Amino acid sequence: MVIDMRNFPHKQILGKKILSIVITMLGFTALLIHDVSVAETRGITIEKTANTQSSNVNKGVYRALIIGNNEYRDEQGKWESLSTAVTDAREVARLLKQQYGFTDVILLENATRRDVLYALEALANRSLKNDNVLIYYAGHGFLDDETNKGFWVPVDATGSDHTTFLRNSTIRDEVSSIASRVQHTLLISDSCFSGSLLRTASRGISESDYTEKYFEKVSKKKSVQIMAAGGFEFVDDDYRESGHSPFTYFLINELKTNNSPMLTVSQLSGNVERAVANNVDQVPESGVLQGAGDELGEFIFIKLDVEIEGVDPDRVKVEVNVIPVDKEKKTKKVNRQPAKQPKVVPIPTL
Amino acid sequence: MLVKKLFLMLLLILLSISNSSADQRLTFGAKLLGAVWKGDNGAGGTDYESNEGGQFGLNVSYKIGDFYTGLNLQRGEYDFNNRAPDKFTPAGRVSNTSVKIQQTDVDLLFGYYFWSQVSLFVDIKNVTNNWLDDPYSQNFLGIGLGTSGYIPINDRWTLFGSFGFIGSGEIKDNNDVKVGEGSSWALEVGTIYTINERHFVNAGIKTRNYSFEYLDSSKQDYNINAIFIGYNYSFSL
Repeated sequence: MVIDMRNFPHKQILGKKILSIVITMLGFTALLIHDVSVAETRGITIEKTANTQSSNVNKGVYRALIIGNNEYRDEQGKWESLSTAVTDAREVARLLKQQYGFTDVILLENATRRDVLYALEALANRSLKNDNVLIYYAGHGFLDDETNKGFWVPVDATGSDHTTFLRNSTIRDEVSSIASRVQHTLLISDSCFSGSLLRTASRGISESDYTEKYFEKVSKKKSVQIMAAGGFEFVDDDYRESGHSPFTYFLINELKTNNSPMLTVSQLSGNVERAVANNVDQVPESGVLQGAGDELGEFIFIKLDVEIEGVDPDRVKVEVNVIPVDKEKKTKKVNRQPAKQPKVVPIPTL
Repeated sequence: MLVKKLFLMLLLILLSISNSSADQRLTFGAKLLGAVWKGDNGAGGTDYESNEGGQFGLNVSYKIGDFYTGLNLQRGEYDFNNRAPDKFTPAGRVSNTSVKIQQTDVDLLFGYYFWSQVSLFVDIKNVTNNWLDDPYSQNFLGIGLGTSGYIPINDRWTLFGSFGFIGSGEIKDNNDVKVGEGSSWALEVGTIYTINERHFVNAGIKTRNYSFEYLDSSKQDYNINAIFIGYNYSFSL
């Protein structure tokens, strides 16, 4: 039988038009993927007006996820409530916002396992290429003696059931995911056995080497650093009734008393480690997150209200560069309701 | 030629994505649909409605960053008493009464979340209707465009939906002879319940419409209205 195709000429043209639209859409898709990966946003610049020197060490946003767990709900009684973790977290969050220009700070108090994972994922989703991301955890930690594996213990942990804990490898995966997107990542863990998270690495820098050039150099190299309250040991909860753990007490103290415009994690951790070890039976550790792309860069804290010797405080200017909102909107999706984002949506079909 | 162009574009997209360090996720799913097939054989024909029917589907999808691709296979039977969809052969219309029709759907799709909760997708769809009373089957192949999205309600519940259409597809019989052309659209809404990080269940309703025009200018329209439940197992790579 011969089929008379003349019955359908208009439909053939329509079909070709639709296919052309499909090809064009796929082309735009490829272009958009590239646009997203090169987006930039807000940054901080310090300008010392007294000597006209300027430093432009970082172009990214300072973001932080701060977790403090006090109120443990374990019915088996293994995990008793802590007294200082929430206070520690609140004070760290306040300091970062008020004195170090962190513009995106999420404070999670008494977080469940699910809360932590969702918050980490949301943080990864909204982080951009040049950002500096700090994750702070204060709460119980646990080390499995047999396997030598460490865990964070969320408030909904049950007894010795490891599946209700947050395994170090999971934390590493989540932090690595964030680190793969941003320039600098710092994990600060104030819990027992938190040293099991890290691999020790030294930048080998003496105090006199912290020059302007050094800061610029290390800020351009990717960093994924960790500061831990202790190695494979128990750590104290309340330091001299200060309302803070010893580690966070000295961390806060260092951040408060720091009078340098720029403070690297190597400087900070060195000072905190010495102070803690000198005062309590606990030795904090610092290093890098193995396999997460650390290039011996440095997470740099930039203090907003520094005093510079010989310079009138009124003449010290710290500039926060904010790109207009409409420009920021174009850069990348920002999930404002991170805890609600589903991981899976069924594939749509016709 | 056009298929080659599509393939080339897809390759370019995948190459672009492979350079990024976006999150990757693999999801396996199963879906059970209870459906009614209701239609009209057009002028000179009858209207009809299936007594009972349903389909079972398996799917796999891969998501990297905002891009996703997936394959869906779905098969089921529809039972018609007295009045049923007519067959349209190159020789013309063949009326049907009581018959069972086996329907097989294959979807290959590519989508991209241009917005945080809304994606656009392309679906290469193949539907085969196989009349089980004799060796006659009809195959509809088309490329569709659609949009899908979701609205989180809380930590556990999420609403989702999609709409898409195939502007023009080709209908062939079991001898691979073209017997007509057609268009189609589909609308789906549902809800997802998150059990935990890896396990998800979903349920919803879906309606599909097909409008066929055969070589002898006969027209045939039908809707398949379904309620479905589904399960997904998903993990990061």
